[in-house]
Amino acid sequence: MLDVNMKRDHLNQMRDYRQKLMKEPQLRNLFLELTLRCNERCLHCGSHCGDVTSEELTVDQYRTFLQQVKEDMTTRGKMLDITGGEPLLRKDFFDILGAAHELGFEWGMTSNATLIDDSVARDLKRVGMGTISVSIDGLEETHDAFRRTPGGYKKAMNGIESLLRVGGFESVQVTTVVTHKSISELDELYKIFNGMDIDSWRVINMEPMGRAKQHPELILTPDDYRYLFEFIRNKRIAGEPVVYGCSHYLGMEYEREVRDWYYLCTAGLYTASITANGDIIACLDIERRPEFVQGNILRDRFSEVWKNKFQIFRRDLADDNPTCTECEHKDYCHGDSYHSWDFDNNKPQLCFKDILF
Amino acid sequence: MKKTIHTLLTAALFAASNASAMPTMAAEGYGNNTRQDSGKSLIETLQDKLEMAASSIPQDVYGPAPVYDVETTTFSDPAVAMTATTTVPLYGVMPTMLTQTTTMLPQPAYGVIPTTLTQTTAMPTQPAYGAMPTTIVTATETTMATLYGPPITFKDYGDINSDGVIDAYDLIKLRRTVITQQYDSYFDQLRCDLNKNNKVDIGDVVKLTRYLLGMTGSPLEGDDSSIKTTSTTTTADLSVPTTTTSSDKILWKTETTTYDPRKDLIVPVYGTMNTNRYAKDISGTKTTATTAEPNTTEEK
Repeated sequence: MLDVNMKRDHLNQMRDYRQKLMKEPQLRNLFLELTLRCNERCLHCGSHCGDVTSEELTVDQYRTFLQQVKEDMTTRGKMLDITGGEPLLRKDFFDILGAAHELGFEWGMTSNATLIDDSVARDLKRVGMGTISVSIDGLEETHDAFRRTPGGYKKAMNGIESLLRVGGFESVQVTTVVTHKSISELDELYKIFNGMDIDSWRVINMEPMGRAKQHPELILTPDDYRYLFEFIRNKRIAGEPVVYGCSHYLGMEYEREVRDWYYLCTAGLYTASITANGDIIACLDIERRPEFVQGNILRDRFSEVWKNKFQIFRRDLADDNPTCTECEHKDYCHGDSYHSWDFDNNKPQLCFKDILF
Repeated sequence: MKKTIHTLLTAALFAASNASAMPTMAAEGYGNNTRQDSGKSLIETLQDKLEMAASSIPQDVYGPAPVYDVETTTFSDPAVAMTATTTVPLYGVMPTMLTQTTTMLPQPAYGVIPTTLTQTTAMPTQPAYGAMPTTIVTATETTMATLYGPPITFKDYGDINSDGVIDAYDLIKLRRTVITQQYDSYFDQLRCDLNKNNKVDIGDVVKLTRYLLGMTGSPLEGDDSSIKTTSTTTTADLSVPTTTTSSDKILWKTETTTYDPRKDLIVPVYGTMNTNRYAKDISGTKTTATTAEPNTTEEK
């Protein structure tokens, strides 16, 4: 375990840094939800994606929006994160990202990789994709059942192999959402991914949001969480590029040990998102409520919205809950992630106190 | 998976921290709680390197590595026992895997055990964004595009009209594109830019013409300067006096003519556009003598 005093010092600095960001936010990640359509129907999807009607912006609308962002805020230090649904379902995908690439934006994406072959991989490289995160949620049978897509595992692995074959990307990452049923497959998955030339493996827990709420049997138990974090930590001790996601405060035991940085919910501070129909929100993982919509790019200038709104996200959620207010970790946790906060009852849906610390 | 300097530094930092927690060092006064004002220690150096690496690693799509000012703290130097073997713990106690039956559920990490076992598979009927907003903005069109559709990918260079064949029709479309500078999609411009100068111009027309004339093996080969053709004429060079008229004494003259495709650029453009102004842009101050005929009423 890393030095606790060092971690405490760093977390105190993070606390101060977050206070500063709440007054002077700096946009670094801009998520673009290209579509809500998806060719898979994951049990844990937070966006209710699938074979649904999706209001979508046109190429020109994206080009205009990105041009405005470039004019008002420059492209420097910013990264576009392309997501969905499955973004590659858009036939004009390369027109949109070609425009972004011409404007000078760096970008990465998340994808299920089922639509990626060598030619698509080459085109992704051609339009400047830097990073990609591909979802593999278990061994073949588990993955296909979890995503309700027969043959999805093989297609996804073929997509990853195409990406690796074409090469030249900054990072090709695999993301695994761990459930109570799939946690026993971590060792096998490690062996598979260790034999591939990917850059990192991100292992995250299934969050109690979206469609996952309808499947309580998949939620991790406290023992599962401890097992998960021990697994990640031990792999990192061995020098393996295994990492936990950005969510949740993990306590002194695991902070900094299962990921390369300390916990910081960046919604509204670093991160903003544009939904498929142009609404401006903080993070796509946050529950979609009308009061969280800060504007729409079709009628508002994004830079003005980023500067003058988002106040609902630039505060401590812990202030809304008596238990959190009195917790000694309040300064580091600040109510935990926005996407896992229960806004109806003003409490975190997932708190690792009494589980990890 | 790739092991980078960053992952190795992480492992080294763990190893250094584990070594510093050994009892012998604690007894001698070394330990993580002792801070000395000597120069940078091993842990400090490793920490600095990690922080620098953290700010330069490729950013994860979900969540960047925050860049923040970290004050360098001095730690005791645990380098004395760096060669000690650390016992890496296993993954902790294996979780109790409950057999899921119809009557049992594992304890969730939060909240109470759900009282119902019913798994609903019905798709939500309400919009994903919650209640319908009172102010309805209808600036976008609802699309019902094909669900399982891969994106339109790039086709071959030179296949301007994307019909799978590189032929004269592509040359016609390329000439039109040079004049109008309008493209149907992002990759159209790439397909047209055969000389890779990030512009669609006369050089691309030259390259495609050379390919269609069989002078090159692909539209990307060769240079884009004006095509030069040579022709030999069997004309006797009368400036040289000859005593006989035998054929072997006839001197052959070779004339080299230059083909400038710009002179063909305007003529075969079909359509209603008056191309005079474009022709002037292409060939400097000169304009061609050819103009497009005005449209007839039927054509309009």
